[in-house]
Amino acid sequence: MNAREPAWGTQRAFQASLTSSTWVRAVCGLFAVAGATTFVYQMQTDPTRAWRAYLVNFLFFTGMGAGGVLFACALNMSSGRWGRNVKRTAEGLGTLLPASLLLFLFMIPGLGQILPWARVPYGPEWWLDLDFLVVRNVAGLALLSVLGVWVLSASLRTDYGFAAEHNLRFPWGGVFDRLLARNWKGLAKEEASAKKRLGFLCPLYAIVYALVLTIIGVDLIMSLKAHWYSTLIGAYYFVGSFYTSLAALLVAAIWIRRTRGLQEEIHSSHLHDLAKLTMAFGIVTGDFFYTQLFVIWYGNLPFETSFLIDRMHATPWRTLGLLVLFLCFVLPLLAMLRQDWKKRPGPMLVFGTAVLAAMWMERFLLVGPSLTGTRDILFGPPEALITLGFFGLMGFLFFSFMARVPPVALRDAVLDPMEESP
Amino acid sequence: MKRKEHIAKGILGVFKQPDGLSGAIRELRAAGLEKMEVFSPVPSQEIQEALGLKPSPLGFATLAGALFGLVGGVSLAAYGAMSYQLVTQGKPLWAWIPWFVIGFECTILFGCLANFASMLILGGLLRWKRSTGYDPRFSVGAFGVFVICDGRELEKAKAILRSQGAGEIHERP
Amino acid sequence: MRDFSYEKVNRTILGNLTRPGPLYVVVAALLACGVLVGALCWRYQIVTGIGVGGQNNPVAWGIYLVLFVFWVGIAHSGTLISAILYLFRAKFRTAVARSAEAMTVFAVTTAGFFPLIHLGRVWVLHYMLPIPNERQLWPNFHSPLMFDMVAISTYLTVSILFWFTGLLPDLAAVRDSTTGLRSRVYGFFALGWQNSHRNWRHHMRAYLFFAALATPLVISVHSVVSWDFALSIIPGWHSTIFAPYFVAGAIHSGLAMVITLLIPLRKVQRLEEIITIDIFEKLAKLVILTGLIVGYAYLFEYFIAWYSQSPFEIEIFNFRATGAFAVPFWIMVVCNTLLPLLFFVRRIRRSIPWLLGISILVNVGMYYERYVIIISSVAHDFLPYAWGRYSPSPVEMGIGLGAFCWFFLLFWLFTRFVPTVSVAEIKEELSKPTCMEGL
Repeated sequence: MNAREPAWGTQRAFQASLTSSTWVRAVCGLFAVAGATTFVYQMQTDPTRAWRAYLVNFLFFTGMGAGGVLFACALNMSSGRWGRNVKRTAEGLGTLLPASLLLFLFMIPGLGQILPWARVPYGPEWWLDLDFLVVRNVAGLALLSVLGVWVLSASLRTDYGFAAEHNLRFPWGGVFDRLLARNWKGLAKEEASAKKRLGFLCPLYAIVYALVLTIIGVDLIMSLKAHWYSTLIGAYYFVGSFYTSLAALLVAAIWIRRTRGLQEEIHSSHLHDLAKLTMAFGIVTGDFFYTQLFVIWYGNLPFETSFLIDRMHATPWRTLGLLVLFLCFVLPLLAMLRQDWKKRPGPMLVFGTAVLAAMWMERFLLVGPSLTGTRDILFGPPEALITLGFFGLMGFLFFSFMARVPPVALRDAVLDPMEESP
Repeated sequence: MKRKEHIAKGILGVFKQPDGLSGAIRELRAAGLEKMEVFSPVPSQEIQEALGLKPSPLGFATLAGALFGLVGGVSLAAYGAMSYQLVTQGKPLWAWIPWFVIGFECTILFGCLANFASMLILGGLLRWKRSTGYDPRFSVGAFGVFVICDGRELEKAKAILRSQGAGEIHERP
Repeated sequence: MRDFSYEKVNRTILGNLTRPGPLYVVVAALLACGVLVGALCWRYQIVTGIGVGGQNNPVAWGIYLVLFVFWVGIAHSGTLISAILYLFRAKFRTAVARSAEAMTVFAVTTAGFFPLIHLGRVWVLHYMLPIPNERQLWPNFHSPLMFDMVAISTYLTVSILFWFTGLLPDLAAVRDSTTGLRSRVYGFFALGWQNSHRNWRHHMRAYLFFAALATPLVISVHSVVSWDFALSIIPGWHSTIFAPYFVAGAIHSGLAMVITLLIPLRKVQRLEEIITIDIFEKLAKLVILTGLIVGYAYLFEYFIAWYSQSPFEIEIFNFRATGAFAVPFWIMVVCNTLLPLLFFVRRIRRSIPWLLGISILVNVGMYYERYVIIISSVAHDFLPYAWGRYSPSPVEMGIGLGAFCWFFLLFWLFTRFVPTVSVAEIKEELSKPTCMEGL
């Protein structure tokens, strides 16, 4: 694809590329409504289960959204030209971030039920204080959302201005028109300033990502189990989230490619590279999983081992644990063996979906026994429908975004080679 | 199985640029002159494709080595634990979790050993006698095609090489 | 470098493999003397006993282990550069990969001495080998020390094989450009490499698989080394973050050592056009990344120590920052996490003096990090009655000096006898192959 000319030369062709995906969004909306209704209903019968489902999905989708933007930032920081055409899809995952903030705000009333120290306080009381927890998590998620949206808008602005210079108009009109292309100074100057801005934003986002997801891991995973701690919990959560978002990106890229007819732009070589990266991070996440398990198992210190015993020896959870281990970490290794699988969208769609399901189960495994005990897994229609609801909400946001912007960047300020001066 | 050392006879074409090289290889193969050695200072995917070669199959040996290492490493650790059943550090005798480390390291070790060995064997290394077609300039910047042929084929080979832009043409030995 | 001809590449790189001059021999002799000092100290220790090394109750692991972890750590970034960056197709890696891999091999051999040195009864080393014996014992494969043995020997073997595989075409190039005994020796080690399509076909694939296998190896080896500590129960050591924390720290110190070694190398061997300042800039950016990871680990460990409300955890972390280890601790924090942040400034990361200075200080900081972690935790664990003191003894310092000299001697020999930049890979990078001038 020639970077100088937009792929869609005329207004009509450009519009055709912007599929509105109405029915997909309608289905997603339906899922979201179903999920919300189930949640409200479940709150009457068993609130702990309802909040557990909510929390697992919150952790899963927040990580996915934040990781999507992290991928875009990583491409920018490393000048990874190979990923140029999938960067917009990754940025699309970032639309989940502001939603995560709202979802956390909705979760605040339930925190008192989820967190054991809210019922029976134990030290350190300065940190394990409900108000402070809300403040720090809201602030963190807000900061992450602001930075994420800023990265997205920097990327979209270049596209918007480039399109305008070639007389193509985004259908967003109105306030976004004014916001996105305010004070457009011409492509060359704008690209230089975008590059500078992203050169500052992307490392900052990466640092904030690590810190905010660590805080979420500490507050919403680690503190669920009284008196338990692990220095790896933050890193485990944010590395696992990046793995999740890579798998989501793989699935989303295949979907976008198929529904928009972008087989040339999102080439099988892109899928190949993305698949390899996903598998590599699967191995890294597996390594983190193993090291946490190994250190706790080997030290055999009672305050720590109860965490593992709940998940390794209690019969219902034990099976889930083994399944998660296989699907999350062994499957990528097996999938890596055949070269041609990694280039074909069919097998990679299956692989990506399997990883997503597996990582969801992994988050469930992390949180579940701490909230509802080890006698039963208690997974049933309520959990499934609430999950579907979250998926619907996130899908709605993602597809709405991808319907209004070019699915492949017209002009990438960081990754496209500079225009040669005459 | 010891190979009989024999001096190969043929035509060596030396190329300045690799452009004519792929064409020369294809034409030679089309003319039935399949036996040749292509020399280059750098690895080249085009040369491999022109010769009709698929990527090396040594991956199977590497995989075999890795699997051997995995099974062997875990078995070694398991055998060591089970043969004299002393409970150390309060850990169970049958402990997959630590054995995984030994298995993993041995997987990598034997995978790499198999990788190296199969590269030497398949790649025809460990043969210090130089091919008749070899020229020291091939490790600097020149490319070369040594066509192993005899009799009337010599002229045919010379003609093809000349037509594809070979800078020098020699009859070897 | 873009307009280099292949011949110029050979000339520039192989032209450094000249006959050693008097200065070269003098430096080599000095380094050999350092090695000899180390060897003599070790002999003294073997004859007299391990106690001369300062090891005692409670600090049974001293400088030897610090140096072991230090050298293994340095080895890791060589593999990162040659294997991991190869898989990521990072072009800037080519000019530095050979020297970085050489650094890896030499650092692992240096590190490999230390388990033997602090073993005490090194003459019963064979106890650690899984061979049938009449002692009625197998090695305890549940122990992290055995993991270490397997991991380090695997790492040594794989690094040597990987490095040697990459060297084969270049050894052939040296064979072809020299005569007489030199040509025969290089020819022997080139294993009959002829640049033929058959050689290259299997070489390309083998190299890719080496890179793919070495990548998880890098992570696992230093994780195994970190588990020497994390699998214990003492506060300050028993921490789940140790594996990624140590791996990041290893890459941090290794990258710094690569920068430290390459700056004088490129000057002396006149390789400025090949090992460009852009490469150093990229390495500096990687140093920022690893420094941030290490900083995160420091902060989070402190946070969790406080969160845990465990008196033992709080005590050890207080002790490190304010007790007898305060000076090494703050050197560690400043050098490892704060100084690399200077590389955010473009002018600094493109300036040779700054690069050299910061990289040396990062290595000093990483040495002190291992010193603080290893020794402070053992000296100050659960019961106050069991607390003790430790200071490095002259024997340990002698052996440490010997190890440094051993590493630098090997690297010094490498620079004169082996091509320090991968000739074949550089040629692959050139956009337009202009091969022979005047053929």
